[in-house]
Formats: sequence, C-alpha cells, structure tokens
Amino acid sequence: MFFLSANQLSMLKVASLETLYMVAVTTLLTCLLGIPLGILLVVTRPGHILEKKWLYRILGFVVNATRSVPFPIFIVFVIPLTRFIVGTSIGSTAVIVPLTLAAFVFMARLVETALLEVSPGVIEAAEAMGASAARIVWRVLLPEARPGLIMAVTITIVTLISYSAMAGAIGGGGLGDLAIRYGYQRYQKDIMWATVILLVVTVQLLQNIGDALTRKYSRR
Amino acid sequence: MSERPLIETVKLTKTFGQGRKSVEVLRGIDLAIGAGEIFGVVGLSGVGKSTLIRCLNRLEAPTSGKIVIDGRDVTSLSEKELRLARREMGMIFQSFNLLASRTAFDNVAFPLEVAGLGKKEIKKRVRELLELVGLSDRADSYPRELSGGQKQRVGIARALANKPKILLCDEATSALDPQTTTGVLELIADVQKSLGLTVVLITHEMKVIVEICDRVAVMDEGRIVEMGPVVEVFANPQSPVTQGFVEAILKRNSRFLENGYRPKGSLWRLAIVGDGVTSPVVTDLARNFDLEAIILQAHVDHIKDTPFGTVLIDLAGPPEKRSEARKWLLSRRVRVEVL
Repeated sequence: MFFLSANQLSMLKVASLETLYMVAVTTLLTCLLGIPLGILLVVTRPGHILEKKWLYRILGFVVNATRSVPFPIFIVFVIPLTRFIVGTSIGSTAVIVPLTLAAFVFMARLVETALLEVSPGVIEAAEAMGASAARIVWRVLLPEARPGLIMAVTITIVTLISYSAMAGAIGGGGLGDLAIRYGYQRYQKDIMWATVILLVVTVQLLQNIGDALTRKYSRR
Repeated sequence: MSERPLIETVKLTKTFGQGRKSVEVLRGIDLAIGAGEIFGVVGLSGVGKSTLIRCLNRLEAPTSGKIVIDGRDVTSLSEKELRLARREMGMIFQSFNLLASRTAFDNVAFPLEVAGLGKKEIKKRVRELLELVGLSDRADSYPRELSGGQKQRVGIARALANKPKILLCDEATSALDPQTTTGVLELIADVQKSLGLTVVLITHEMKVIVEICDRVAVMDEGRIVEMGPVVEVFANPQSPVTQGFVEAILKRNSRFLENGYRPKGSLWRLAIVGDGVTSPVVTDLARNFDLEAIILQAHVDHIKDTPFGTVLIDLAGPPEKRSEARKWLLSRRVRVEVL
C-alpha cells in the first residue's frame, strides 16, 4: 500500500500468505468434516430418513460442548492433540488443528440449518418413489439446499479469517498477528490500518462472491 | 371389479404417540379396491384419510392390521423390498413436492434415475411423459416458473414414470382453483383409462369424488362410515357426514329457502339418478295425483358418466294424496326428501 515502507510491505505480504495458507487449508478440512456432520445432524433426527435418536443426541451434545469453549482457550486445550498430529504446537500449520476442530462443528450447525430448509414433502416424495437414503442425501437434500450450503461455506470462511487472527497466540502468524504485534504493541498505526483495510476488502469480496453464487443457484 | 381386489386393507389401525398422549387416527379400516377403479376417500380434515393413503405405500407404518397390494402383504416387506414395491405405485401430493432445483424434465427423470435407467432411455421416456401431460414445451422450466396446474401435471408425469399399476392422489387438487382442478381431474381420468391404472384418491371435496370416482368411502373419526358406488352414496346418503357432503354440493337449494319463501304445501327435494332424469317425473306426479307442483329449482348434473338430477318442488294438495305420490316416486327409484 502507498503509505508503507518496502520493509512493511514485505511483512504484510508474508502475513497475507500465512493467513491465506491457514484459511485455505482449514476451509478445505472444515468442509470435509463439517458437511458430513451437518448431514448426520439432520438425517438422524427423529422422524428423518435415518432416525437414530441416540446418535443424534450424542452428536448434538458434542457439537454444543465444542462450541461453548472460547477459541483462545480451545487452542490451548487441544495442544496435546495438535502435537500428536502436526508434531509441534507452534506455527501456522499447528494452528490448523484447533481452527479446524472449532470451525467444523460451527459449520455443521450451519449445514444443518440449510438442510432443514428443504421441504419435508419433497423428501417424502423421493421416499415414495423408492429412493434410498443415500440417494435422498445426494440427489435431493444437497442439491435442494445448495444456496444455503454456499452461504454456510461463505460464513465459515469469513469466520475462519477472523479466528485465524488469534493464531498469533501460538506463533501462527498471519494478518491478525501482524496487526497486534506491530500495530498495537509497537504503535505502528499504518500497519494496523493496512491490515484492517486488507481484511475488510477480502471479506467484502468473499461475501459478494458467496451472495452471487447463492443467487445463481436459488430456484425458489 | 375383478374377483380379487388389487388393494386390500384388513382391520388397519394407526395410533400416533404413546400412552395418554396417543391419538388413534385409524380405527380399523377394511377396504377392497379393484383393479381399474377410481376409488375416492372423502372426509373432513383430521379424520385420518391422509394417514390412510400414506399407509398404502407405507410412508406411514400402520400400528396393526394388514395391507395387501397385488397379492403381497406390504406390512411385512423389508426396507429394500419396500423400495422396489414403491416404484410400482405413483403418488401425487397437495403441495406437488417437486424438486425446486430441477427443471420439469429433470423432475420427471428423477424416479427413472432411481430405477436405474440409462440416460438415453430416460430422455425418451421423459419426453413421452411430458407429452402425455401436455407440457412438452415447459420441459426446461423450473417449478417456480410453472402455475399450480402445470406443477401438478409434472407431478403426474413423475408419478407415472415407472409405469405403476397404482396412482395415489393425496389431496392432489386441494391447492388448485376450481377450473384448474377440473383440468387436472380430467387428466387423471384420461390416464387412468388409457393406462388401465387403479387410482386411490383422498379429498375433502365431494365435487372431486362426483367428477371422477367410481366408488367412494366416507371417513369419519378414523372409520369408514359409508362406502359404495358414488351414484348410490350420493343419491341416498345414510350417515350425517355423508349427508353433509351431499348437502354442500346441493347448497344452492338451501340458500333459496333462507330468502324467506313461503311454501303453499310441503317442500320436497327429489333426487333422480340415471335415465329417469329425462322422464317427466314432476308432470306425472302432478297429473296422476291431482296435486299442484311448483318447481322452485331444478338441476341436472353428472356423477362421472351417470346423469343425476335434483328438483326442489313445493307440493300442494291433500296429505293422503301426497303420501300416495311419495310411494309412487319411491317405486320409480326417485329419492324423496321432505324438508
């Protein structure tokens, strides 16, 4: 940006790439885990196509429990697991573990909400045609809920960007970390401004893309 | 009706919930529906007719009793057998239940995909089906771009995709305006005839029953209170519920009386079924028994293909003559209701 020195610019570049890395990998993992969990939360509920009351209750409890822990505490809480998976509990890669764990349960709730929007009548019609549960999930629930699912992914990515700012706590780097260390602790307001502007622009852009895709697939 | 019914229910019951909060929705339904019939079930909302039709393809599991379809007990089928059995029954719904994310074409293709047909076959079959329901030009439209009647036509095409023997209609016209209802009913009657289907439909409108059904069952509080050929049930309703439904159709007569008409004699409502409609019943009545008959209202309608007439007359004359006249009318199979 125009008001920054070359040194500051390169810091900003590194931080941006770190954020991009953390958010991209986490988004991928979050979708891989969160969408199936969201589907399970819907189809196992009473009266749905694969009703399993006990499973539904357990999943609901685990999701709520995970979501009740504030993220900075959560990062510390899962350090043993992070060490086990990544080999270290420090750095951008290490942040991906707590970030994914916290985000995928959050996303599961969003996916659940989106799938519950699908009219029960449509699901019933598919059942009446002799469709199996797997086909109903793949060919009815997911396509019918597509606009809501795109929205869920958008919200998740935006939330991940904001959560990744806390990654600095365990040396994860990224834009949020840069803003706190240089902008706040070293009084470099221009760095603070630059990161904030960068984040605002990125989030706006993502939200716009998400909205456009939602609109494109909305058939109601 | 053939000797063995295509659809049979024996002492079918369904209870929702458990213990004190339980609700008995079906209280022992015995039905026998023959191949090639259009069978209607009529009842007010909440009497269990929707549960009944949903039991037939086991969208609802009955609490007790048996359902035999085409010689097979569907209550004892495994999940997989049930899925296969369901492909032999098409179903259409009050709210159409089309997939909003699919075009009309792809909606009709859905059951064919479920049945595992190849792409080419699906394309051919869907074209035929859209042609059958008169929507070839709307193949690429999404449900939200279609009118209610068009949506139900897509629903019918979809229900018929796998060439079922049975078509179940769950309040299929209740969300449609009267004109569209007639069009959709005509389509159902047409495909029933051309494909030799057996149709089971439930409705809260006697009009629907009268327009296309062969036989009717009237439901009240989880039981069938009256059943028979529509013409008979309509001409001679026994239970108060059935009388209510018939009354609703003939309402125009009652309205006339509410407007303060003062009868000279007694008011009779005659119901004439079949060819009697074209015979001079009222003229004969007045002439033979020396009575004065004022025709207040007369109406000829059809119950499916049978003509059905109602006449409201004000009949003046000596009481003994009138009772003789009544006997004569009954002997001519004219139903008399003294108001």
